[in-house]
Amino acid sequence: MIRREPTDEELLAMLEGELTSSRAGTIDTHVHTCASCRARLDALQGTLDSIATIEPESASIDLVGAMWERIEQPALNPRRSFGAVALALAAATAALAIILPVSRSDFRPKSGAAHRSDRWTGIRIYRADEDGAHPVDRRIRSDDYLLFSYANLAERPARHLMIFGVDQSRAVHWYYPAHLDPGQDPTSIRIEAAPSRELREKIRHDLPPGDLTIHALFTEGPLYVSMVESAVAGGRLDDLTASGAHQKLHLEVAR
Amino acid sequence: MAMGALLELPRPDDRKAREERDDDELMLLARAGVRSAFDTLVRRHQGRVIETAKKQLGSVDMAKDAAQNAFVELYRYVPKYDPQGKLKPLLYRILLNQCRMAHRSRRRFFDARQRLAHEPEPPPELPDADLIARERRRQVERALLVLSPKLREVVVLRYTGELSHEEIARALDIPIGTVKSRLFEGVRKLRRPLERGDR
Repeated sequence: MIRREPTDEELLAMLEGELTSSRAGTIDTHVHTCASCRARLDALQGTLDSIATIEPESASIDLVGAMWERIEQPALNPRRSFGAVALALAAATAALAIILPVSRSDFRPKSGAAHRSDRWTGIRIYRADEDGAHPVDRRIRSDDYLLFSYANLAERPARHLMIFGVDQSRAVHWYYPAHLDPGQDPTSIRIEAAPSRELREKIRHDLPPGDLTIHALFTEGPLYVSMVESAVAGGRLDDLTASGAHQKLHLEVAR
Repeated sequence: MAMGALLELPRPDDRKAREERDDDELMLLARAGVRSAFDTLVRRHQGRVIETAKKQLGSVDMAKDAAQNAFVELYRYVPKYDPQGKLKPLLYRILLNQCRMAHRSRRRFFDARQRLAHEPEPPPELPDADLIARERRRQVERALLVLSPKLREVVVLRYTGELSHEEIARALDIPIGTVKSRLFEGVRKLRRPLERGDR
């Protein structure tokens, strides 16, 4: 037998599971015999159900496609953190030349296991000068212009690529995406499945002498520059490419 | 050092369907570069996220933009996400910030209650029961827009977003006790105009 009718607050508390079990049981029993309280509880439940309802116009919207377009949208005014960039004809001419000297012997597997050379993913680095593009061995000069090409032939080819260098002081030097304006945060560049594609920009940083590691991150989804810089600072770079590919190329920068 | 040491992409882990994974697992897969994991996450939450934004803003178009901005912003959290079952509070905190920004930019031009008043009438072929239910939901939406933002946010997060009291507390950075008091106060104030509408 209930001593007093439940208040609206108690009815809501019961629906929220906030009442003691004894009080909730008492009210539950009461509303089954009291038409007035039953109506109040039904009205309250109806109101909450209305708030919880997802209208068909909301349920029918799929944000995924437009969301990725936004994420992958290139910066309107791409900036470059390298010292100088030569574009257009000179770069295109040099880039065309870089494909030719590359031999299959340059392709090395991640491990010693048998591999198929038609399935590899990775970059090559070239030094550009007035004579064309030359494959980089271990040493580069701090003021060299660099060019890159990539192979993207895995069974599930990557769709995005980032290339950057990390020097001894952990400073990051961006090649792709190139950027200059610290206010922007561009994403990985889109790439296609191909045995070899040249990236057409000649890029020069004022690199400090010493060790430099060039990183190439092949991923399915795009990464933000800020993500990578944060991962580099935290030593978590491999976390970003657990299902992609992370290539490291160790160079020595000379004056 | 020979250049061109090339790596093979591993096969994606398909042993467990994406839909079966919880939010934390999907965020970790997304962090590992599995784009479809983030797709699954977005599709799992987008309906409630859009509806939550709509109840904040009174417009499905503005809600769609706010929700999309929220997921774009969420993607930035992928590399630093700490998998402790806190995705929903994070997502809805981002969403509410987007709604507040949208509301500020819109306020001088348009009033949400006016827009609701000018929504087209439902198509006449709807059955009576559906018409009544739809009209009820519109009444609720109008009543929600009359609530103060603080009360409305808690009520909508609780029932539209289906966040627990603890998740709301995290999303809004307020004590759980405040969540409960705002929830009761919000529902109490909500019922007044609805009861008048019932008569």
